[in-house]
Amino acid sequence: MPDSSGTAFLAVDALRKSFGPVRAVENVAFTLRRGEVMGLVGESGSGKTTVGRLVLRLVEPTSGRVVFDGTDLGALSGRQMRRVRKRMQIVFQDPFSSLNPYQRVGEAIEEPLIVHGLRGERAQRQERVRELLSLVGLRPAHAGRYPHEFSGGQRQRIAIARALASEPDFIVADEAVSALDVSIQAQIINLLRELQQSFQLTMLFISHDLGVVRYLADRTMVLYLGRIVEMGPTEELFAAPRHPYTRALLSAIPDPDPDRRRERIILKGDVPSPIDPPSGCAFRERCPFALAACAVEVPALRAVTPTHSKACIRDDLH
Amino acid sequence: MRADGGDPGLALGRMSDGPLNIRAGAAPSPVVDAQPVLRVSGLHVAFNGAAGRVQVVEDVAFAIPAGRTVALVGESGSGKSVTSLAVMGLLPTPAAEVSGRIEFRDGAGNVWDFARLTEAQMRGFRGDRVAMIFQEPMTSLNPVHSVGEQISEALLVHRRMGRKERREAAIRMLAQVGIPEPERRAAAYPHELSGGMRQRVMIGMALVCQPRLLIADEPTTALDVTIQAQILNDLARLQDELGMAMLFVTHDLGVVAEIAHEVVVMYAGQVVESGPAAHILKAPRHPYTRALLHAVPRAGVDRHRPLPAIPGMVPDPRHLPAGCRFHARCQHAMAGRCDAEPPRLESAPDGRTVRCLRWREL
Amino acid sequence: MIRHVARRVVYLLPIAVMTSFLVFSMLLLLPGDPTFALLGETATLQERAALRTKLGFDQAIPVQYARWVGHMATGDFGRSLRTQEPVADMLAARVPVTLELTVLAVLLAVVIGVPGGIIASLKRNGWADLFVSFFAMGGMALPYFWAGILLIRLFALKLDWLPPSGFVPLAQDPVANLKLMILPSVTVGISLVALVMRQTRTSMLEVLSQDYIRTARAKGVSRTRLLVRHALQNALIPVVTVIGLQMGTLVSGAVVTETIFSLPGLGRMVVEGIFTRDLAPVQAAILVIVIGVILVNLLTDLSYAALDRRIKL
Repeated sequence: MPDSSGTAFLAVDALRKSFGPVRAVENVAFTLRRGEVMGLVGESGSGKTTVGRLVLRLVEPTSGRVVFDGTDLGALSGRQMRRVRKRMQIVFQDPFSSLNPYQRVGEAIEEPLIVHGLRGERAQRQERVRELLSLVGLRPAHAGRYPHEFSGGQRQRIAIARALASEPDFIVADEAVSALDVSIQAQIINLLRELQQSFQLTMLFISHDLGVVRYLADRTMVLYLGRIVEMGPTEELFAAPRHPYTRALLSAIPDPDPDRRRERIILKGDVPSPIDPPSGCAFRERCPFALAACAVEVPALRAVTPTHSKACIRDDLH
Repeated sequence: MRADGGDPGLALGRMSDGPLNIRAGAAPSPVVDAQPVLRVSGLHVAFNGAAGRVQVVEDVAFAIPAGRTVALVGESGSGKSVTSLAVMGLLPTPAAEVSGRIEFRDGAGNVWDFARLTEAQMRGFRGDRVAMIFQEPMTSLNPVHSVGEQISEALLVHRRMGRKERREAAIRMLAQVGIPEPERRAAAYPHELSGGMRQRVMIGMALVCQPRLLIADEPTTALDVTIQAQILNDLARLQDELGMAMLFVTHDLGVVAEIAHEVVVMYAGQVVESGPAAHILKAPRHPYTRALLHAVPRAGVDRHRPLPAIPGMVPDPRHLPAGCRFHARCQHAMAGRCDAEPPRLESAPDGRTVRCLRWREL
Repeated sequence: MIRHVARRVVYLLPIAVMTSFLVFSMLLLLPGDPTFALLGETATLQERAALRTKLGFDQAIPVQYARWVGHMATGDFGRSLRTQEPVADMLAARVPVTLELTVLAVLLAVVIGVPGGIIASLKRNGWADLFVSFFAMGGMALPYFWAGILLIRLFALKLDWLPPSGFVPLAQDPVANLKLMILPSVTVGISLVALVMRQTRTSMLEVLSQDYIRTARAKGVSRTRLLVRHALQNALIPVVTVIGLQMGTLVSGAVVTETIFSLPGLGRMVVEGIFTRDLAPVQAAILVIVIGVILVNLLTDLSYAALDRRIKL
């Protein structure tokens, strides 16, 4: 359970990122308590991957602030940032391209220990590598092998072991289980959950798979065209979505249970271009509930309950 | 359990009411043609490579009547994609060895066994009476040709149609698959379109000769859910308009529920279970199908318990376990039985099949 | 499109100025004294100094360069010190020879290299593929002078099928001209043929494994259509790059080859000029070559856009 003292472990404020004319992320703000898992959902082009990288300062924001455990990351020098970096790690989607094919698995996991000057002695480091391998469900003997000798699920375990090597307290998981087969995906989800709980990891879990987010995240935010349109406790958000986009998104998840038939909202058209988004609410052209007023100004993210907020001017929808 | 019709032009499409749709096979539909468009039986596929001969598909059988959809479900390595490519005759020769029957009934009632046709004969069917769409709409379109050209190419190849007529047909097709401003889009190149539009182009390309059989290999896997919903809706509508049979390959049982009438579940190259989609999703008989259904987190799953994952991984086709191929990962496996005796695919009286020694007890 | 070409040409101007200045000054820094060639060994120091002043060789290099460019701009390319022939006339006579040689070499590369590469990619690991790989390796390793001499020995001296050297202008007698040009263009083209063949093979193999090739097969297109319409058009993009990048090498090959076969081209003009310290023709010839290579690069870029619609002009 996340720490309930209410102090923010990670605070993101008014984060913006433009790539040339493309406004990838617009005014994103949220906070995370220590040990909390935040789900970040959105479709391609929503900016969710960019948000993940901005938070880790792998990409420099155009404006806005990221405060990590009381430290403003924007104010840090390169050297100071490196010191903070060992506490923040990322796990990527593709277990095939995120590992160097010419590097033994043991070396890949040992590298962050060397980079951050942890566990000075070689023997100690290797002991730690063995420990990490067993932690993620692999055998210590696997350290001497190369990535191609492993399946996709095993590689993702290796990537997780590497991310955990520097004992981080914050992890961004960017589509970390999306490339995996169903039966393997469940194993990795369970592993992530176990590790999150036993190390009290704070996590930003980015995924287009709403089912996975629903299972793993304490709170969830929904991104559309670079803006947060809804944010709230996961159960509440999934059970009673407040924003029309969230509703459409949730209704589009195919459910294998033949008894769970429900209203299906099929959206018109594609996500608009981030170079030239519609005026006002970026979703209005596809929204079944849009009013003339929706074109006037960008709706602000506002609280509908103390824990739940949405960026939609219509309060009459239920 | 697929919605019949449904107006794609409306922002709000309603799934048909009622627990089970008639087309799901709960009650036999009176319009179903007794003679299937495609009947596959005893299909085997093996690859001969540097590492020797590997059997990847073994004794697969199913049939698809006109207007109906059969879903081939499985994970990577199950042989589902190989099966679909075998039907199209698109497996690499001579590396792939295909045997068994792939019987296709054309509009005049003639039956052709694709497993016995030459490549030149097969070419006459592909893109004309039998068409296919693929998973990655970006890489599956030729980057240097306009989408109009690509859509109408089959009309040149199979119908010898002139340039102007082809252009008009491409524009009509683009409109039919729901692409706005079809005149302008026909001149566009694939990189200028979104993922969803590219998949619509793929669908238009496949349907331009009005095939009797459409094979769709994970057509929505690379798409976002809201776009997936649009595409599934459109595929169902187009199937109704053209009355074609559809073979739908997917790993997603949720998608199966949306689109399929019948399901064939594959594991390690074999069919482990088949039957009407609604029945199998509601009450799976094979432990693998059941495990697959429960391994996906979805509404109603208890967040505070671990997901019921399937331990281990899909076996290497070069070193298949003795007995049941799933036994090492199966929570119901019985030592001395499941690891010794290979189960046969049994037919139950209700028209379903299952490959498990213990299905009656479980 | 026209605007794009205009912009590209404007970008090329500084490159042309820089390269021509470099070439110009490097030639002036060559050891040796042009007055020896003009006045002979016996002239006095005073006579030499007077001539140098008259010709402007005693001025600073940038000044000489500016004057040279100024003359060029008015169409005055100067005269050969040795023969007193106007450089413009020399260029007019020699540019077509080198141009023909390079065009023939590129033609050879396209006509032999592209089909050879296609066949190799289709018969992967077969005997044709083996032959192509062997030829590609050998062709790229073969130096021009060696290839030229071998060809002369075999086809001219031993078999007596073709003349060993000499030149007849194309306009005068096309048949005799082509006969004389066969061996030189093979000499210049052989490495490009090899390179193009290998590149075509590699990119065809790459393209043939793409998903859109499978899509085209799923449409039932014929084998020829599959190869030409779907595979080749994509595979040619890197081949065009290779040809464009090789133009510089090709011209340097032409310089050597013209000497071996006694062809009166730009290359010979440069070599003769350097040996006699007759710099005006050398500078003019090199400038023509530099501009030619730059223009070919422009053409290469433009042809990408025609082949690949993802590249926007």
